[in-house]
Amino acid sequence: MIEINDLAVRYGDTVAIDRLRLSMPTGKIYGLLGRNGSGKTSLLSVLASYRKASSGSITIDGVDPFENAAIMRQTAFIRDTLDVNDQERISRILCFAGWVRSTWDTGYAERLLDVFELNPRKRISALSRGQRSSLGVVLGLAARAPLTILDEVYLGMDAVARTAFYRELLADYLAHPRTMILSTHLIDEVADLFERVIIIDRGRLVLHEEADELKGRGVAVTGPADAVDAFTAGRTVLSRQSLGGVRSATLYGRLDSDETDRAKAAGLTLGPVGVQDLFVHLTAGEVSR
Amino acid sequence: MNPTSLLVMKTLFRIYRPVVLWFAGILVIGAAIADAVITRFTEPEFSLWLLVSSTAPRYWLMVVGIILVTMQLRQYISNGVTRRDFLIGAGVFGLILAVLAALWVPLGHGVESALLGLDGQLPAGYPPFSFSVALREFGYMLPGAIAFLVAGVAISGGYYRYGLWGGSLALLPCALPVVATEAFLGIDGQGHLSTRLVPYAVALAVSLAVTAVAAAVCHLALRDAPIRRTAE
Repeated sequence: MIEINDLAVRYGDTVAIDRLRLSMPTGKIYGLLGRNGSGKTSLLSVLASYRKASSGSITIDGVDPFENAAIMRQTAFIRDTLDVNDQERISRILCFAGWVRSTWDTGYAERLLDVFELNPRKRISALSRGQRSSLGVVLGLAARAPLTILDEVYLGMDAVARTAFYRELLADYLAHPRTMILSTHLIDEVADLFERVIIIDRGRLVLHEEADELKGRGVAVTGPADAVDAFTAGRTVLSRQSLGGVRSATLYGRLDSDETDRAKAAGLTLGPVGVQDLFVHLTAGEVSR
Repeated sequence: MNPTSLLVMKTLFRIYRPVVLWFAGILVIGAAIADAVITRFTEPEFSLWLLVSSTAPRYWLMVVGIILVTMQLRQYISNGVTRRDFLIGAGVFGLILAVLAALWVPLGHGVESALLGLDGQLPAGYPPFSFSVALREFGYMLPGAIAFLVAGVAISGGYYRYGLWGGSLALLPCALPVVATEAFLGIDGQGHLSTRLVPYAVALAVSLAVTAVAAAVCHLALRDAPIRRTAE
C-alpha cells in the first residue's frame, strides 16, 4: 500500500503539491491525470525518491521510500526527458541497466528494441523525440520493477509506437503484475488500461477512484437533436457534437432508472462517457448548461 | 561497504576502464615521443615525465569528479541506487583512482630514468630515481590527486544542488583543496616535486584536512539532493 499523508512540495514560493492525501493499493495500473503544472511530476518524483517532500509523508508498504535502498531498488521512474547521457549508445544504456538492476530482463529489453525498431548502436543524441520516448518505455518495462512509474513517456511517439506501447505494457503487466503509475495527457487513448484514476489539480487531489466507477459518473446521450436537447435541458453537459440531425451530448452525473427509461422511450441511445470529458469537466469546469 | 556500494564501484571501473586506458596511453606515448625528441638534441635537466604526469592526471581526476555528479549520479539513482550507496561507491572508486594516479608518477619516472640511463649515465641535472624518491613522489602526488578529485565533486555538487548562483558562490570554498595543495605541494618549472612554505608533514596535514572538510560538506549537500534532469 502506498500512503500519502498531507504531502507538500514547494519550490520557493511555488506550491506544486498542497497537502495531498492518498491511499493507493499496490498491484494496479494507475492513471495519474492533471493539467500542466498540476503537480504530477513533483508527486512522482517524491514517490521515486528523486526529491524529498517539503512536508508530509509518503510510505510504501509502511516505509519511507526516500533513500531506502530496498524500496528504491524496486522502483523504476522514467521521466519524459530520460536520465541517460546523450553521447551514449542505446546498447550501452541497456547494458548499464543490466549491471545495476537485479530485476532487469535483458531478453525482454532486446525484444522491445525490435518492437520499437530502435537500433542499439544509435547514440541517444541521434534519436528523435519519439524514439527517445520508446527507449524510455524499454527502460521502464524491462526493469520489471515492482513499482514502475512512467511520466509522459509517450511524447513524440507516433500512433504505431503508442499502440505498441499500450499493448506491451498490458501484456507485461498481465505476465508480471506490479504497480504501474502512468502520467499522461492522452487520456482517452490510455483510459482502457487504467484500473484506477487519480486526478490532481493545482497540487490537490480532485478525484481517486476505480476507472469503471469514474466512467459511470457520466453518460453519452445520442439521438435526434430535438430529443437530445429536450432530455439534456437543465443538466450539466460536458460536450456536444452534431452531425446532420443527430446529436450526441455527454452528461455529467448518473442517471437513475426512471431517467434511463425516459431516454429510451424518447429514442435516445445511452453509452459510456469518455474519461477525458470527465477530466476536462473536473479540472477546468468549462461546461455548458 | 555494502553490496550496492560495491556494485557502484565495480560498474564505475567498467565504465571508466576504456577512458583510463586511452588517457594513460596518450600520456605515455606523448611523453615517450617528447623524451625521444628532447634527448636527441640536448641533455634534459628535468624529468619530462614528472612535469607532465604530475599535473595532467590531477586535472583529469577533477574532470572525473565533475562527471560523477553531473552525469553518473542521476544514472545510478534512476536505476534504483540510493544517493548514500552511490556516494560511498563513487568515493572508494575515486580513492582507488587517486592512488593509481599517485603510483603512476614514480612508476613512469623509474621507466624514464632507466631508459635515459641506458648508455650508463643519466643526463646531468636529471632528477635521479630511487626507492626513496619514488616514495616521496607518491607522497606528493596522492594528496594532490585526492584534492583535485574532491574539488571536482564539490564544485559540480555545488552547482547541482544549489543551481547557478548558489554554485557560483560555493565555487571558491569548493576549490580550496586545490588551492591548498597547489600552495603547499607545488611543482617547479623543471618538474621537480617540492613542498613550499611549510614542511611536508604540515603541507600534507593541511591538504588532507581541507580535502576532508570539502568531502564532508559535499556529502551533506548531495545526500538528499533532488535529482535534476541536468546540472543547472
